[in-house]
Amino acid sequence: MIQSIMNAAVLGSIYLLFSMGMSLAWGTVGILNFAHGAIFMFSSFAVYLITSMTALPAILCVIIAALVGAILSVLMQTLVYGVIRKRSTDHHAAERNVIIGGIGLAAILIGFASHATKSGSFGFATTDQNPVLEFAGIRITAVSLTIFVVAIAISIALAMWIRRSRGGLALRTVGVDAETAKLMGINESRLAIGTMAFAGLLAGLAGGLLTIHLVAINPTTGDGLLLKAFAAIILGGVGSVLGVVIGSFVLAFVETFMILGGVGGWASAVAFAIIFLVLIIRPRGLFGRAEVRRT
Amino acid sequence: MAIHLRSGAAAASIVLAGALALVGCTGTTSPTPDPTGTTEPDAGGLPAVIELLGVRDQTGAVAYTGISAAKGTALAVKQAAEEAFLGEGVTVEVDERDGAFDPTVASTAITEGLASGNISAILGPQISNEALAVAPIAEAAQVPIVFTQSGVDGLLTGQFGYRASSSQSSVWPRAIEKIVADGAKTVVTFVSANNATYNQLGTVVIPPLLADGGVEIAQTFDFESSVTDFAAAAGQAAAASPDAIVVTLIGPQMPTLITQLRQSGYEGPVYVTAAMTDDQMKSMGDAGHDVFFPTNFSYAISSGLPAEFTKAFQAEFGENPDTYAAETYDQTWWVLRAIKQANSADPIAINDALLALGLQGFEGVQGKLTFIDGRDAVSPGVLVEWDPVAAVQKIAG
Repeated sequence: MIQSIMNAAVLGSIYLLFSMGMSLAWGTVGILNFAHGAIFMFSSFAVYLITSMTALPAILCVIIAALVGAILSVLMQTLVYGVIRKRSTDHHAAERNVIIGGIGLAAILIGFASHATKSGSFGFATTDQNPVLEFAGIRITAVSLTIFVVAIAISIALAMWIRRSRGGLALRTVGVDAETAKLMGINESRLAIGTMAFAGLLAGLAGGLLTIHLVAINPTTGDGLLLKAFAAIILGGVGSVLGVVIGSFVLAFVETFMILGGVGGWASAVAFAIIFLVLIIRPRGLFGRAEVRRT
Repeated sequence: MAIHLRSGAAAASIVLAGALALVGCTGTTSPTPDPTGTTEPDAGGLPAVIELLGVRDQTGAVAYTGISAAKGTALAVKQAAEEAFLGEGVTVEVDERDGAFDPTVASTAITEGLASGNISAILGPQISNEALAVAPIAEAAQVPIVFTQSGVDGLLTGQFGYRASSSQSSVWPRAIEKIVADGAKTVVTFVSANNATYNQLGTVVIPPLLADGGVEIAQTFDFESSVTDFAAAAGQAAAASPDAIVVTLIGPQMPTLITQLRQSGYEGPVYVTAAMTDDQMKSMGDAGHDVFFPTNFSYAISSGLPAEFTKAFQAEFGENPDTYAAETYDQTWWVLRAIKQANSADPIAINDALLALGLQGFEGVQGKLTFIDGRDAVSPGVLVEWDPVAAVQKIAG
């Protein structure tokens, strides 16, 4: 049982790492980035291309993936989302066009990777192994443990930064009312670039860690995780760090114990039914009231 | 993509092709013409251009299957051209279209392809959902459609549908025989919940085979195709210490599952479907030991038609063929022989010839193929083991 709980916690951490950046961008600067899964995938794909030529240490693979994710995300914000938002007639049109733009960007990145890999799986050639650690009868790989620790550490750090720093306050202000934030001297476009860079960094980090953890991913792996991320974010409450943490772990535990119970084919149905019920009872999600964007 | 069958001028080729037609009629056709034959083909009923329509996934989640499939067809058509199999001046064009892992796209591709009115036969999709969607279209148009893969039940209910690849259920007895021979008493199974073919294999086909061998299924885990992490179930399976593990998940899921089984401490044999490509096998590294899969074709087969096919494929494409290419190679040769036997490009005449050839059976690169009701291929199958050190397939001992 403890082993199963640990495995579910690692799965929750995977969802959390993936969802955190997406939730942050959506709940603060208002960018619902449908290309988040594609950034996740393409960051790994970039490392795969590099390690096809020469094997690298796993830690370097993860760092490169994170950097690629950040760069991709900044490019998207600068060249696409920022432009779309500027040229849109109103806030709703901007949100809608950003969603469509994200879908288009995702299709381009996935198409490129699919073409290069024939839609096959790809992984990293690393110079080191992923050892299995064993303590008190619990087995966990070094990368699984890393995913868990990194996801929790980033969540705590991000929550504290948002609550206690001037940058976090500015971000929350933009999330509540972008127009007022602008009047208060907050440079929204710079903040949006910074937020997207961090979101992309997390997507790339998740991509790098997950590719090592899962051995290989394929060009559409990010799409499946995108759906899980939506579920986790909506369940927890858009923009709430604690919400996305809880949402990710609830989703992972429900799925895990459905699978262990021999009814894994119903895992998504039950997980989304729970989310459906939560939305009926608490439309803003479990923790959305205090921090969710109100514009 | 259009692939042209250009006739060679040599009279010897005609003689060889005639021999092949003769052998085809007797149910022992080889893709390589019999040099002892003397029958000259009668191409009088054939038009200068015969059009086939291929709908396979060139993009989407399993594009690698469709890309391989197209190569199998291309090789068959090229060889037939070199042998002037259909006679002098007869050209075969294959209009390859992308099913894109989407039944709607596949249906549109078939509909648009048939719009010309000149299609003699269809080389159908490999994905069950696509196959189920397009079968009624071919049936309504009265154009024969020959599928590969697409192992779902209920596909071949019409008069124009065929399947050229043996189903997983026909080759899985090879794996069960080894499980039983190794003295296994319990297994744990991992089954795809929403892939129709693999779900049926894992829930309907394999359990009775195991039961007949006196092997108990200790536990079954089912997974949706979107699941990427199997650590919890792998841990529980390893804790049960089964004698073997049987996996009928989709290809991209299996390397992760097997690796996580090893990480959970399970070191026993793992029996998987033939859906894993060599690249996916390689990604497992050392964890890929004791991994077996029953299949209708492997490049590791060192003799006979499969070996000849492997050699020709390597020469043409510079890589080892996979099962998808082998299946479409047999599929395409079946259609070409039917055209030859019908001596006509008329779909209904070809349909009759396909059925006649199917009732006789023939030797293909999948082994000796027989056909249920003349439509649905069955092959003996072979059990293959992955060699993680050499990173190649080998025939299981």
